[in-house]
Amino acid sequence: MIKEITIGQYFPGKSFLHKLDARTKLILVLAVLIFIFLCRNFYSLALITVFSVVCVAVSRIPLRSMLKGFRVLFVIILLTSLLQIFYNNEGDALFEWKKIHITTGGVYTAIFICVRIICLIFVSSLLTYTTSPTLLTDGLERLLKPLKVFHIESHTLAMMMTIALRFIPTLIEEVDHIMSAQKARGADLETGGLLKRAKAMVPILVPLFVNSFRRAYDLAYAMECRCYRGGAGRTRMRVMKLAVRDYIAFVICAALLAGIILLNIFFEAVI
Amino acid sequence: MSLIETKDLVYLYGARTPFEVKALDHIDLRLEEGGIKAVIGHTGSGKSTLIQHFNALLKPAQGSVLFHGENINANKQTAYRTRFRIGLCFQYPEYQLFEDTVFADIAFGPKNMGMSEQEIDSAVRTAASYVGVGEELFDRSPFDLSGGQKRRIAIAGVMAMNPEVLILDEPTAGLDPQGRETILKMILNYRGVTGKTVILVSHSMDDVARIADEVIVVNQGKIALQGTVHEVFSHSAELTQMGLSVPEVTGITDRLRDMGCELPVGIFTVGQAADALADYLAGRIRK
Repeated sequence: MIKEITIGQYFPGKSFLHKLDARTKLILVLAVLIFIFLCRNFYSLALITVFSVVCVAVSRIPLRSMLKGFRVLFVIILLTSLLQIFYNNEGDALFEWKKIHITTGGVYTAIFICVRIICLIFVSSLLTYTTSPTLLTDGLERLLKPLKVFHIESHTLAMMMTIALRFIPTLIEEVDHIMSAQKARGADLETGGLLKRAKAMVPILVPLFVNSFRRAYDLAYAMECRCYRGGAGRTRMRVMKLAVRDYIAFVICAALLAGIILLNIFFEAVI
Repeated sequence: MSLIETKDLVYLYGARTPFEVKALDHIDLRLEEGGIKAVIGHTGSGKSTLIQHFNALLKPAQGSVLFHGENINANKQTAYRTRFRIGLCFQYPEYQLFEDTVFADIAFGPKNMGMSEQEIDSAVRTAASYVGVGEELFDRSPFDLSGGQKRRIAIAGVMAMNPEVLILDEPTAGLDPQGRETILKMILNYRGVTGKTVILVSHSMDDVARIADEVIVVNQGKIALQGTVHEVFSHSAELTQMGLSVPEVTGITDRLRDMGCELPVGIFTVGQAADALADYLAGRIRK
């Protein structure tokens, strides 16, 4: 079950998106997410939808594995859009029964929000799909460096993130292992009420915490043995450098923004 | 009727994905009652997967597991009850301890079985005596003890359920020679006192040669060999091919034989080797 969630996973590849600098991707994904909210009518929404679809196509991420990860989210999207149909009562009436009024305005907003959320998910998940966790944290570290003014060490934050990401699979495996071991001793994890089930988690959570602390100490010692002392004076194996393709990406996104603004001005707003 | 029997047992990891792996490939295995049985195999051979089927922790994709001739996966109840009758102790069991005291941790299994206070008390004391944990440790926190002690307490936690079969997955992994010796002696003692069947998964051919009565070799999800220590370790070429080996001392006597010493075949423990060498040298002197 846990293994089926593919959001946040990295798919190695050699596409244009994979090759972009992590900083470029971080900034541009944030920008495009804002662009999606800037869309006021179906024309600009269509433009950004086409843009998202092209991005997915360019990334060469197998569509099937992408959709598989979204299965759970689609239910939420559907519910949100359905609610919109009943809440928005503008426009011409399409269907009326007792207190339920369905209007064109409601249907439009429902479709609009549905498409908007799907675009949001696709674009934001492309970031982790095409960037390895190490590069992602490297990029974040670099981008957050100005926070030094507030005495926040971006290097420490990035290192913590890297370690956390690194240990997710390890922890999942460990939970599996401890669960099997306690089940072998007759632990009943599946039946009973809420309180009983919560109590049944104790034999799993206690060893998990104890082992996590043990592992954290081991890791800290190992890092200190290799003279780790934070980011000060540290050089990098991969020096991040913006290439021509990064500038191209910035230009494309600027053009996208211009397109959205123009379409918003020329056509009537729906939302 | 065999004690444990598997019929056409198949298990898949990552079923219906591109990463599907056949961990168990149509296994037909019969294990009779009594003795110490060793399951050996290379890492990833499927031996751990196999033993997790014996107490219904894993459900077969195909085929069945019979205990005393009855399908253990017939329904949820039989599967659950089988866990108490076939006790399984995982690798590195010391990382599964969780209670405040040693006593409470050993008592976890018996409590789940629904034993009365009195029964629990006697089950815990008996199990602790099998693994050589004194009563003075009962009120201590298991987290304050040494690695070897923790492991013995964890094993006692499984023994306390008084299972008909005890399965131990790599009980000596990561221990120093002395700790290993303690565990092996403990297993022999347990078998001697209770007369119950013990199934042991191991990487160490020397341990297997020393204490096992029967050896089962698993390779690539199939049973490659099954027989006595003598029968299995005489297939040294096949074992090497599977990434396994014969006990170290067998390797040495084999080489001595190649060099011209007339030593008998089938030497698997240091004691046997010492006797054979003594005989050989005595013969030379006589000549």
